[in-house]
Amino acid sequence: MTPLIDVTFQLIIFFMLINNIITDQTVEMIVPTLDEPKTRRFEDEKKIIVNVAPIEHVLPGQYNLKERRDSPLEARDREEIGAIRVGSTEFKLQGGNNVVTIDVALKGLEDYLSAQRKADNEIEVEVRADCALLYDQVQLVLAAISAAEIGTVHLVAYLPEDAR
Amino acid sequence: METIASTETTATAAPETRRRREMTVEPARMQLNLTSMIDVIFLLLIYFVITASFSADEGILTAKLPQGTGKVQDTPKPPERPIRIRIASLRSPVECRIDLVGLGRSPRHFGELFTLLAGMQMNDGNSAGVFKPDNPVIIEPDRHVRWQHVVNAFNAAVRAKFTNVSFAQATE
Repeated sequence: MTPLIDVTFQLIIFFMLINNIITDQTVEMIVPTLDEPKTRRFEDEKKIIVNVAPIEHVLPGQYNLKERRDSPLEARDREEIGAIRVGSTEFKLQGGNNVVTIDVALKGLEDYLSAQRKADNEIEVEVRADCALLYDQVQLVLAAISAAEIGTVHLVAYLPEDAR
Repeated sequence: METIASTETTATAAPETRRRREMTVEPARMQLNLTSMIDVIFLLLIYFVITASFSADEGILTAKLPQGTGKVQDTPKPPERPIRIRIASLRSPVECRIDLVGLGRSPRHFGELFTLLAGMQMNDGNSAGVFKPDNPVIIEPDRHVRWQHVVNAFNAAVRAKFTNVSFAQATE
């Protein structure tokens, strides 16, 4: 009986660790899949992840992210930003309560990043945007990051198959 | 009479019986009942198995933004002649049109874009190239291009080992 309990504890610890705290920083979405990606892993502790989420994030009842995985770019009605999330702060642009305008969201993002940069000049910013979003939308986020005087950003995409 | 006789027999036999009983009685043992603990452990395990989520691993591409201007670069800054990659949306969101402005080339897909860019770069392995690795490369998507295609173009430029790749304001 004792080895069974030992193995069971090992499994519990494993699943507790993979359900880690970092998942709270990311929003579920489909990031770009590239041809022959030159992406690399980035494990800097000082990174800030800016999630530019599609509408599925704020209206999960109407849209199903899992259904979209087969053809992620086909989504005609999911081209706009649903929410911008950075750290524990989220600016919802669509979907029910506490919705703000895009200008308020971008200003909030810029202020947040400026404050973080003043506290630590070496922070790194990751932009994690859904692959189906229009460039018109994402460039507003890039502009807000640039206005916070952050010169380098990391664009998130899937790793090459052999690196996963 | 019988009673007295029996009483006398009992009185003499009792101490011996008691001694025998004391010698054979085992000391009490404490035992831990593990069943409830195992039940709780399995419940915990089932909870974590159900709530665990697995997703494909993500990586990064590093991009430079112009600092403090409040908008992405919309005017290239020579001295070098920048390589301008224009990306236009098509009716199908899955596809896009790629043009190398001023160079008269229109690759059909991003693999071909990489091949063209790599062929144009002047380096140790390619003396016929025209552009240095630090030559500015500007990606000019139109407003309706999907983010996927923009990052793919960026990736093609990075694969071709250009080090100064940036984004322009969305064009109509």
